[in-house]
Amino acid sequence: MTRLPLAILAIMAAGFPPPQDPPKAAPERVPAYTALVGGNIHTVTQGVLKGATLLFKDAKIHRIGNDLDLPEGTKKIDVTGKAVLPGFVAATARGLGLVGGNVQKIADSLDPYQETMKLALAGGITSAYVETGGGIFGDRSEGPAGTSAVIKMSWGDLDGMLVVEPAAVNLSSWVRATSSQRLEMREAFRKAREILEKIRDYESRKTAGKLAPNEQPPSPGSQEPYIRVLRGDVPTRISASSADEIASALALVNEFRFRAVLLDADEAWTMAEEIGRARCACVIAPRRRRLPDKRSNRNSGSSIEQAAILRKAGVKFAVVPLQERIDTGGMAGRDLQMLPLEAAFAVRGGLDPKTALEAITLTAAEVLGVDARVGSLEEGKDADVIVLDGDPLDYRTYVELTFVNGKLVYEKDKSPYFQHLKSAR
Amino acid sequence: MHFILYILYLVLVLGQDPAPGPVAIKNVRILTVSGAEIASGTILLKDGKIEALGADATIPAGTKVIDGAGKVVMPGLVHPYTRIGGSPSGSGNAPNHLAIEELAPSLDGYRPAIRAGFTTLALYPSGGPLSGQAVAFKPRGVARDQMSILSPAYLRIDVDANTQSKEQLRQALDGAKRWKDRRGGGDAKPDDRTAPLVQFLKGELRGLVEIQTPAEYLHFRQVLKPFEDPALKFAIVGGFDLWRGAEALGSRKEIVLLRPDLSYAPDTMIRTNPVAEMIAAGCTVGFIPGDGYALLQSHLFRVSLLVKAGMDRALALRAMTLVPAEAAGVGKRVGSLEKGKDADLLLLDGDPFCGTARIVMVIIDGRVEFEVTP
Repeated sequence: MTRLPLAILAIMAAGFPPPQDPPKAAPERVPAYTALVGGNIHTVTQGVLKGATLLFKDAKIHRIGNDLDLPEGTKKIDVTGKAVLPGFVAATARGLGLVGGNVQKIADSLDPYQETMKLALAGGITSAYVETGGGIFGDRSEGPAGTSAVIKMSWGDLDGMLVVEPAAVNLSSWVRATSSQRLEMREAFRKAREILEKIRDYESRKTAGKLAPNEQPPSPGSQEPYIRVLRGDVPTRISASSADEIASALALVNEFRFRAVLLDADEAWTMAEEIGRARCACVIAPRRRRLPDKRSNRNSGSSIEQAAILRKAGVKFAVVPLQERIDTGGMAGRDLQMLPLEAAFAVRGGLDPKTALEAITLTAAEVLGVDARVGSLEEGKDADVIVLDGDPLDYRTYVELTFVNGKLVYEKDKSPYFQHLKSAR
Repeated sequence: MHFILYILYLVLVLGQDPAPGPVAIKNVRILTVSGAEIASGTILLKDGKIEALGADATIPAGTKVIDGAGKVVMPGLVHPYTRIGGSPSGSGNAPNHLAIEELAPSLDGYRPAIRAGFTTLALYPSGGPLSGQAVAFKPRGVARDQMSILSPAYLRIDVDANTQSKEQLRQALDGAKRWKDRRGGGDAKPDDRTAPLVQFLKGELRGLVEIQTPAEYLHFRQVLKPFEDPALKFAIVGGFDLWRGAEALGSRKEIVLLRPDLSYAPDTMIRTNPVAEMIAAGCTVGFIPGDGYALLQSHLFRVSLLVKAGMDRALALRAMTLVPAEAAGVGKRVGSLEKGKDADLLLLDGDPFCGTARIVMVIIDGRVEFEVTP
């Protein structure tokens, strides 16, 4: 009984489409402006601006300077006398930002509600490099199979958390490999180089319009990660602590010419020139002690002057703490929460404070390949900003506010961990 | 032959419970949940339904009258997320699985649930990410059809923060959306695995999304984004630290089903009140007791502790009854005391939140299913 009227309705609907409402113009979203007013702004790239204003527009830095005209409705935060810096960048981090278990793609396993993230934010860290796997002892023998990413500490915001994935290819297995394994890896690189040449040839003929009919691009096959490395899409990371290990890493880099970052490079100071020539960057922990090799007739072991020596040789380096992790159990001043202290220790060994600050901000971002977005305070860059109650390299300094993507995500005054702490001055 | 007739007799006569005669409870304090509390009144039950309730409802002749002086009547508790009676093996990733096929009418396990005051439960299919469709039922009756009050009650989705889980869900929703958006196409029908998802996307079948961490909630929302539709209806079952995502969940006014417990911030000894956080952020909270005997028995008591910790009484009552009933798709039939609704109620010898109140009588469909011997 009810079918007939329905059928008529259906025919009517098909024959006479109901007049559509004109598409409503989406209400124009008003951008959110936030201004940090009156602080001493450590831009990293342009020196320190005293008593200046930093203006965010949504998630980006909009303007920096004295006497800015603030748009109507700007939220003003008075930071007179405070130090305003770009958030620190952790060139390596563990135990941060990922749910446990089966991680295939980091993007699918991010945890923007991890308690350790609050601790990282309290330490001023706004971006970090993370990778999957690595064994239960945190061993970096992953090979190119694992995945890695640069993530932000964007508390509660999943979409704003991932900066890049994959962020690097880990080649640490090369250093400790047997001869036959090295042979295989070299062979893989050679094959990748051949395929890359074919791909480049294909692409140049494609732009010239000289492809054969139905010609397909050459398949990268299993060499895909190596091809990305040779093309320079992603940097490699190689853990090489001793001079011997560094030398073997440099041999591979010099043979195939790719971007490499040397991790745990404790003896890098003994061969700074060679590292500079290979255009490798380093990740160092200035406080780490390595005993000299008594059998060696050359410099060995760690040196408090490591950072200063690398700087003199023009080698770029990022600083990480002794323990590249963070957890609520605490690490007695050795973990990521103490990142600026680690940079301060390099100053103690003769490094200038400006480079020390860069080693935990802009250079760290360069090492991770994300310096276009983070690492310094410049117009157009991400509004990842920290407000400190003192000099960034002073051990008495606390982080008071942390912003990620323009959003306030940490306030010391509200932190159950830190609100009651005050340093004696 | 006689044997078959005897079986028929059993099924038709004994199995089909003759409707109990009308029952009235008078001089009783009535917590209706949906409406105002009645300080002293009468509730009349007839043919398994609530016939009347009020301060001065008249009791027809021939009605069995219970004097409720000093006692309290409230709707039966609803457990929207149980595995009591479910088969031990999970269904895996099978959206077409129907949990009603797992119901075990002969099971003794329902008795403790009744004694603890649960008059409606929903059996969910275990597995994931799309484990099947739940059944809402009452813990009485001798056949699955008699127990069931709604099947399918909801589609259960279990999301994990990993690529495999998200990808399976995304592909399933993708397939369903193509059917949902299909114009014309004659008699073609989606396959059994896709059909429930099409219904879900159209809002014809409720969803129940299990997530453990607030991160998983954001991952679920990220997967759901291309399929969002105002018609979509789902509730969220969350773990002990879901409260940390209160801001995100509250901004979308999610219906959240939680254990009624205080908790700790992860890796710390910092005490938290997850329910208060969720409500303050804008969520609607319902409770799930868990399936253990002790958990069922202590449900009222655990909720009392939350009321002691500041939870609004009226919200606490709803969270045990109407909210879970709606999450299981049966809010029109059970979950509150209203004229015409099922006669499922509890008689207590004191205020449900006083801590010492005892459930002295459980009535399902107007029939006394449990009574404390005086």
